[in-house]
Amino acid sequence: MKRRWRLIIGEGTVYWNMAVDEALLELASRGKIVDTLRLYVIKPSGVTVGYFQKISEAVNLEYLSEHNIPFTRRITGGGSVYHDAGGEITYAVISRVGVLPADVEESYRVICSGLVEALHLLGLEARFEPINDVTVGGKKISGSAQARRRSGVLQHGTLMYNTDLSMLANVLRAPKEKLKAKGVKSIEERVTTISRELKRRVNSKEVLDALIAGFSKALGAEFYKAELSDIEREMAAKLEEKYRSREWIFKR
Amino acid sequence: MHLKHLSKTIRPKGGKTVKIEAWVSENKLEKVMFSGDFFAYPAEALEELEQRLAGSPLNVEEIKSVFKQYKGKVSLVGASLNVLEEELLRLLGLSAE
Repeated sequence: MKRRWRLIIGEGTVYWNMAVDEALLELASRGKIVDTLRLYVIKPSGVTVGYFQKISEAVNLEYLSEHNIPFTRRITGGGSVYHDAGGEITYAVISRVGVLPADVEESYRVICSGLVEALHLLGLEARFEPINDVTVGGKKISGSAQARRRSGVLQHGTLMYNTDLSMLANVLRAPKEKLKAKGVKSIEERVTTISRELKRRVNSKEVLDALIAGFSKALGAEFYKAELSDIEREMAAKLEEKYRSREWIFKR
Repeated sequence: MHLKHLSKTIRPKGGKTVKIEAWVSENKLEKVMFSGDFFAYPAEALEELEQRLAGSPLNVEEIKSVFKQYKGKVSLVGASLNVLEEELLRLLGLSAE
């Protein structure tokens, strides 16, 4: 029998969405919420950097400022991400150990299999590449990051269906050691999108439907659509201040 | 006080990128920072380790004893505490190699 999961679909700023993800993790860690899948669009397009990244080395700050692109730091580790409002869907799985494997690397595998399945439904052969990437034809199409708080688990990540890859390359910075390890000369060479791989322009509705079906299979979930509760909204509203603060964004 | 800034970036095979930075005075480790796209669980424990390392004498045993307190307290994905310890000691010129 499938387990019931809440499904929340929405859009909002990079600050709001990072705040909602943290609020849900905190509530999950206290056993206060049901298992939840969020599928959201970051609008306007924005950038997030990993918890331990040095902001000046992870993104092109001058370019972000010139183009008025909002950016913040995540509570999850991993690398910097360009969230294209017109070409990327972010997912967040919020649950707890027991429903998801206790082993971090195994839980990445389980959750990322939802992305692999979604891409399969769209007609692409995708692979989970540990630790946290999903690739098509050797190129990254999705990256994920996970945080834990007590038994609460938050994993969020991207799925690029029509991301402006030249914009992504302008916005993000990668250390030469990382590019070398991936065998590429530039970020742009390393990434791809669903539209590029399918050689047709896919729309967000197709991708959303595929993600819901993919995660349903991966998580053994039966989804019901819902909205954030008042408590969740209030907690996120408080946390949003942190995500907008220079102190948090420039802590490294 | 004049601080010397030391830095190196590593990418363990199959792991993530880690930059190790140390600011040292004549005989003390004044500040340490581990940055990159790795994961630490819980993240706050690694920050605590950085704070605990600050102020350590430039001495292998002292630095190792701080790391020892965090083994089992923080777990890294894409790197390891042992690697951070080895690389920091090497960066400080305190490694046997």
